[in-house]
Amino acid sequence: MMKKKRTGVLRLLGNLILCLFSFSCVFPMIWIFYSSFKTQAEFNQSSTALPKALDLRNYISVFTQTDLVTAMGNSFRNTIVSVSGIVILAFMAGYVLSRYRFRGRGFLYNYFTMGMLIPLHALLVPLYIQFKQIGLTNHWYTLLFPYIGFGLPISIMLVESYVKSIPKELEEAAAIDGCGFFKTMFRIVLPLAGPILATVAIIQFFAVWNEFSFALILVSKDTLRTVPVGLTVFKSAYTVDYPRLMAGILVTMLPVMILYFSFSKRIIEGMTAGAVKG
Amino acid sequence: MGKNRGKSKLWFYLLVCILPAFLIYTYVVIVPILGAIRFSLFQWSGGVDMKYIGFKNYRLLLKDTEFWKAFQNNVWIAITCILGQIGIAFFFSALLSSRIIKLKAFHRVVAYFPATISAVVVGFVWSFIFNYDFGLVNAFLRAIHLEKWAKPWLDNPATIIFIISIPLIWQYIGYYMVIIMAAMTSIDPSIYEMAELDGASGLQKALRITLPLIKDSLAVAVMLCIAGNMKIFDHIYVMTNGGPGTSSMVMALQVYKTTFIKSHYGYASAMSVGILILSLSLVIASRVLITQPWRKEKG
Amino acid sequence: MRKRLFAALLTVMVVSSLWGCSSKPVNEPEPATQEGTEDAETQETETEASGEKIVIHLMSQTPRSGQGTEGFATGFYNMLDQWCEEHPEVEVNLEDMDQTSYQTKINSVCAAGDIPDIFMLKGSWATTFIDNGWVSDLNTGLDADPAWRDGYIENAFEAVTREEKIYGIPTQSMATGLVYYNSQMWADMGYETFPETWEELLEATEKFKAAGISTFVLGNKPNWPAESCWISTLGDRYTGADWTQSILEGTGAKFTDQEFIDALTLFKELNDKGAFNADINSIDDKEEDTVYFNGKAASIVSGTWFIPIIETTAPEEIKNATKLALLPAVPGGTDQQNTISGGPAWFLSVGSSVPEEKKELVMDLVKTLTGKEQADITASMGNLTAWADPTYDESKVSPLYTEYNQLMKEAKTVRIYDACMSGSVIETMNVGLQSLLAGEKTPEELANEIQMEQELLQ
Repeated sequence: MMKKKRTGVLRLLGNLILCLFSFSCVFPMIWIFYSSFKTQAEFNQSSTALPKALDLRNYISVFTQTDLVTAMGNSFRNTIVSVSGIVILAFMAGYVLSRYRFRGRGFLYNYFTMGMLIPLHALLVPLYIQFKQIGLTNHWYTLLFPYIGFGLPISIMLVESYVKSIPKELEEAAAIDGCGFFKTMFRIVLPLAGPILATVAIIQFFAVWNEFSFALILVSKDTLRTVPVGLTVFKSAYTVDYPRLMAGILVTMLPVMILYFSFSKRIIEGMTAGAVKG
Repeated sequence: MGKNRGKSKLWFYLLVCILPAFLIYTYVVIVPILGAIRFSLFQWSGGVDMKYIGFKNYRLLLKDTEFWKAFQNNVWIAITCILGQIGIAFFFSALLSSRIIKLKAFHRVVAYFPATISAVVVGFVWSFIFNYDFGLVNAFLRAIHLEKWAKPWLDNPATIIFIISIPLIWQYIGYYMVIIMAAMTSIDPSIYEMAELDGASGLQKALRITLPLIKDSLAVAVMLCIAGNMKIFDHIYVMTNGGPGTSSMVMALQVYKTTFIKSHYGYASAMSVGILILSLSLVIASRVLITQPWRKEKG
Repeated sequence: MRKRLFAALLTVMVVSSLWGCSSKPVNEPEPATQEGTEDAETQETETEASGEKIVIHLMSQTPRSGQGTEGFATGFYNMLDQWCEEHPEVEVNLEDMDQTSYQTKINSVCAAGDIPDIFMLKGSWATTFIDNGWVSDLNTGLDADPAWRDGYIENAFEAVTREEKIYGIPTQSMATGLVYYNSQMWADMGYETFPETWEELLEATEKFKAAGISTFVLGNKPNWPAESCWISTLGDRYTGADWTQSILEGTGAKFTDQEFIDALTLFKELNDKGAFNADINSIDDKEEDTVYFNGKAASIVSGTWFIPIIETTAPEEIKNATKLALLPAVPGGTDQQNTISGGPAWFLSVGSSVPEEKKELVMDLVKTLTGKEQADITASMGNLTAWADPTYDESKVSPLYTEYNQLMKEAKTVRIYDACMSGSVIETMNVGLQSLLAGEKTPEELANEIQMEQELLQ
């Protein structure tokens, strides 16, 4: 009886905490959403009140005054190519580093993971000089290099530690069946590493989508601008039209949010699948 | 190499797997670091004149109280975040893997959502939440008649570090939940079933079974947490700009200001090298603490 | 074997990088060499699909999205559009962004020797940019057109002049230490006009405090407002203009001089007396406007940029009640107490790597973007111009703009610290002022710190 009551309280408390947290997670977007319909004067009077009218002016201005559509195209291209690159390269490197004990493995692993510790602002100037030197700036593919390069350390680390936890039996069986190196890697291990690759993909997707500094420095043609850089034009020196900025944020996040909510369902499926197999 | 290929194809395969990642990574991460190391030996304001001054920048850095204060701030943020982010993430993950929680799928999807928002937007939203006049925190306190608790949260130098850690923790709980939950999926469910038969409670299961089994992933999470917080920049820049004064200054922001506002490129490079060394030491220390190699020898 | 292979690979990359790094930043920024510019040219034409068009690279800290709503953005971009129409053979590659991003970008590209043809230069960057050889002097172009050269307000070129050479053209002007007060609220406290002495101001502060209202609102999170809007004026009230000049030239004046410390002390005392909002260091220069608009503060010290903001976003009753004043006279200051910090802060400069054959075009564009026509448009939208007498319809601009012009007839303009002093000194001062306001530093400690940074320059 006592125990039942206690678990009842626990159940309520646990659910309550998670619900509160989950609400806090979506709250900022809700706030940004309704604020984007306000006028600047309305926002100045109260930044939390609901808008007085459903005013689409900010959205019209976002589409007519800036070239966010081009920026979104650029961001999508950068993101999709770099994330694919990161996932493939990190999987191959992480798998090898996790499964094979060769001389220099320890060095390589540390060499890669060290990259996570580097504050990026320190590298902007040296990297720009380097890129300028070999004419790598201002191309559609310019940003792919830093995005992949900076995405690799954490991704390799995640893949390596995950693959370590996958039992080796399947691979050994495959080897006995005469499966080659690459076949084992892609046919046997890749599906097993699905959850972590999805994790890597989703982490990197947003890291790349939101990346600002490289996009600002390495590219200087307005046709190559990405979303975060495109959004800066809403801030002028002495005023920020917050509602308009929020409309911009929302417009640029919407496709990503849709993608996220459809994609994340997959991840959860992947995780459960992993649990069943485990 | 040709000789080698005949002898063992495996080495060729390993090379094929690692080389592309190695090359890109080396070119965009390692080579610029070497560039920064080189700049750190110069007095350089960005122009043509670069004056070689040996290790003078490093000697200055060792004596730079502002830098060490920023480092201290970074360490505090990292500690707060390890406890907050990973601790809460583990707690939530354990909750989500238990049977008492409803709407599991919803929570899982939504929890990661803040991590998808850019740091700049998060900082921006939270500076509104902490706002003295109309921020949510104070509005709430006033609503429950605790006016005297309502404070200008971001103005007190003594508490600022912990206040700005809150958004950081909040944003990345979901991030660590994903890592921890991915690790939990690889635990054999029959272990739990056996424990349940033995009458283990939820808490016992989480601490005695889950925790030791996902130790590797936790080690990764702690390292990520340290690495991430040693180079934390955007949140702080947006929420406080390092202020009031330098009380929430962090190392990366200091590098940024030294480079782009003060134009001391050489000194800023030395600072970056310093950050790298300090972060490396912390990460190595944390790894040693978690894996505890001395225990293995005994055991 | 593998290890050796990796080692060899690593060595190759390291060596090539070091070789690259060492040859590049030292050699590339050398603008005068014909070789370097030719390289840049061929590269540019290669990447440009348009081929024959002459490309001018223009970088600005004023986003184009302000065209049509903000005075200067409208003047600047209308003139740019007009010029581009007149010069179909030229393609202007415009990069516009907000100020923070601009600061990061312009410093990075210049350090890499990739200097834009035309770009915005902040007064406080002048020393670094000129010493680094990133900007070219514009004397020849200016002297060729005296009407242009002499059309600007007094001392307009001061911040960007070194040894008679002028390195930038002012794009607009501003006053930073202007008091905007809600005359209704002050009248309620028994003040028909804004106090003219400091004692009176402190008295008023007591009254406002008792009523739960901030006398002033200051949003010092971005850390320049305290220095730019307050200390630039207060400092001068104690030190006089000669001191500032001496600091800039390095001829004896020190930040540790008692006069400067007096100014810091006065400011700190005003804060300690509760004249400011409690969240002085955590709201920014945009949020402070909101506090004033909501009637939670009786006055605000801001720049002339605030005039159009009041015009477009302030509630009607606030807009009507707002009047302008100078800061009150300080106790124990110099004889000249009718001063206000002001002048041009941003300049249009020409990069030092512009090849000879392009120079004429570039100068023509600079002239168009800074000349009278731009000033006319900017002024007609209620923004201050660096042009001495822009033509505009006075009946159409904000009454505050007219009031400002009236006020300035009896005021003397002194220099804005962050428009002339070096960036590193200013950053130290700005950060230190936050600590001063937060009660973490004394005026003496702060003065010492600024002086130490100043001495690093020499």
